[in-house]
Amino acid sequence: MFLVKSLSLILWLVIVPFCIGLIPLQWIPKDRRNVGVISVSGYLIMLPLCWLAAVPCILFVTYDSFLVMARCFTVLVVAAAVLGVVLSVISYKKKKWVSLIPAFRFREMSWEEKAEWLIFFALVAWQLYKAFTLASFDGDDAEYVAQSLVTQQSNTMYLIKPYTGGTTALDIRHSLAVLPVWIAYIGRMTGIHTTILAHSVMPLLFIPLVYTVYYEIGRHLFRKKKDYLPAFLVLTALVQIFGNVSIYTSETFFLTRTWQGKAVAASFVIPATIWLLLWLFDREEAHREEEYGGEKGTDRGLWALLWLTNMTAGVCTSMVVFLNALMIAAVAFWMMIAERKLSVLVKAGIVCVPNVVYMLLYLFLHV
Amino acid sequence: MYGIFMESVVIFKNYAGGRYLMVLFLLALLFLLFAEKNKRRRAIFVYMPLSLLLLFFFPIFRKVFVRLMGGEGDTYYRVLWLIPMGMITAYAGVKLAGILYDRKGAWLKRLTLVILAAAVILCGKYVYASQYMSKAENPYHLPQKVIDICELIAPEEGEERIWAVFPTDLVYFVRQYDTNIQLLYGREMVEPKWQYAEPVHTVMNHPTTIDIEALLELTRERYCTYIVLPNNKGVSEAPESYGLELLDTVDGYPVYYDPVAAEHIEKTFG
Repeated sequence: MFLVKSLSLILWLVIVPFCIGLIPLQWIPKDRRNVGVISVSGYLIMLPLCWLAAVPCILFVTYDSFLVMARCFTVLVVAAAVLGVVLSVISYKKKKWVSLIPAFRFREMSWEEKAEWLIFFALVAWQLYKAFTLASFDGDDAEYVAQSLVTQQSNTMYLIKPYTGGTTALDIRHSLAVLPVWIAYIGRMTGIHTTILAHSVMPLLFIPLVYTVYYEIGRHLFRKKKDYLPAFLVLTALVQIFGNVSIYTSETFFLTRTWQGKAVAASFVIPATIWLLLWLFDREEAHREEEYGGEKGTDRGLWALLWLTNMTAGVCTSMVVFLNALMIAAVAFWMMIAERKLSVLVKAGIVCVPNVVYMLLYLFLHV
Repeated sequence: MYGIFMESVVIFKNYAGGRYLMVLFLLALLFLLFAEKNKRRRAIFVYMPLSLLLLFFFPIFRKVFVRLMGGEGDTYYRVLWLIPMGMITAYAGVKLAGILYDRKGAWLKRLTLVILAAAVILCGKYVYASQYMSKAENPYHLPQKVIDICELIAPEEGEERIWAVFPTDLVYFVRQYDTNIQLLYGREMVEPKWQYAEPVHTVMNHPTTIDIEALLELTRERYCTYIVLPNNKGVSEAPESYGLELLDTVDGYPVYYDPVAAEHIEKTFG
């Protein structure tokens, strides 16, 4: 049974998102395509699909809404995974395929660089070990974790008070942030209790995913001085581990409440947004062509990923939908001045359409 | 306006937690302001954080934020999440090390990185030493005593859900293990900041003694069949004298079954 559940977890948390992440591959610059980018992209597509499947069911299905959601979501993720594989096969046949394994030149590295990489991997391994062996008390779990379990055990979504079990009118405040429903779905598909999933499994997923984003940010920042990348990652990991200066920091949320929507938003969605903003804006024109292997490249894939990142923010927590739009607006404003192009602001406005729709829906449901 | 500004200052101070990691970040930001020559990176790593910091302290922005978030002023600190403090600190640190490498050689670069790593460790606070962290007793990461009590009282497969009363310190965990156990009061009544009042909780929350008669009067009219008493308080009278049956004592918490309430359910619902 343990083996079957472990294999199911690998299927739903690794293989399926990976296949889904293959969809935007051909619209991503060639030298940036790798396993990590695909995995992150997979989650940036899969989580918004969960939102699209869950929210209509929450709002319009009266009985067994979770069952209906689970069926719809399964169809969507399987279709997306198949699409990703088909697109990759077509790309392979057209000989446009590139290796997805990051060029890791361990033998060519200096001893110093090797040592830094080893320290970085040791720090990540330490975080994974601690996440699995330490329990972190947080009162909000009585809401988030119980919400997943209520969904899994009652087949309803946001109609039962997680704190007590009494029935309630639809909980609008939390019902648009459907990460607990996604955890309940994974629980249903794997047969694992959602509390075990949230506390013991999700950190093993989200911690590497967050560091994949930091790896990509570092790879971009130090693309001309690759040997500086491990030092950047070591310092980043140290800030995460020693960032518990108060209960409010994103670092504290990352390592003590990894499974909660707000923690995922703070530690994954916001850095992923910065990563995509760097990819989009921090490039010389000459370098753009080089990135697409001499072909005339397009940034549409990256803008689409940024759009999806905004949708992922909505899956995690309503507040970060607003905050992420604010950050994109701030970056776009300064970019517009730096580049002297008004189009930057227009494009940034377009990727924030999901945020606007989300906020309008939130306000409409509240009234 | 000044009052709102000062509130933001207090929130910022609380966020920084009186440690020097924030100072390290501000130094990194200042360094990048002068050292970062790439205008696009300046926009992302200098101007964006600075403008968001200014916005954070701007009283009208705080007012708009609180209005938009439905009055949730206590979550205002989350605006600071938008400033990638860790990323900026690490980037500035490595950039500084790179400049020193170009000018003075490899050893100074190494020394700088070591000093920076030490500064992060000394200025920060180790997350795993937090008072909220403890050794996980099981894969649920819930206290084992809660699981043992839940196993004792949870309904069998296909049976109706039950109502129970738990001591304040355990209510957070019960429904993370089994939602077939419903609680007369949950976390929303326990958190002092929300200041809700619930009669059963008022009885259970008495600092020294639980008034059994008052408790049972309330629990029986709400069809509550299981009562878990605190392990650190006395009782006004023996619960057994009111018909309760002691199922077990788990880690000092007496777990009672109330046949009178069960009979009351049987009579009312059949």
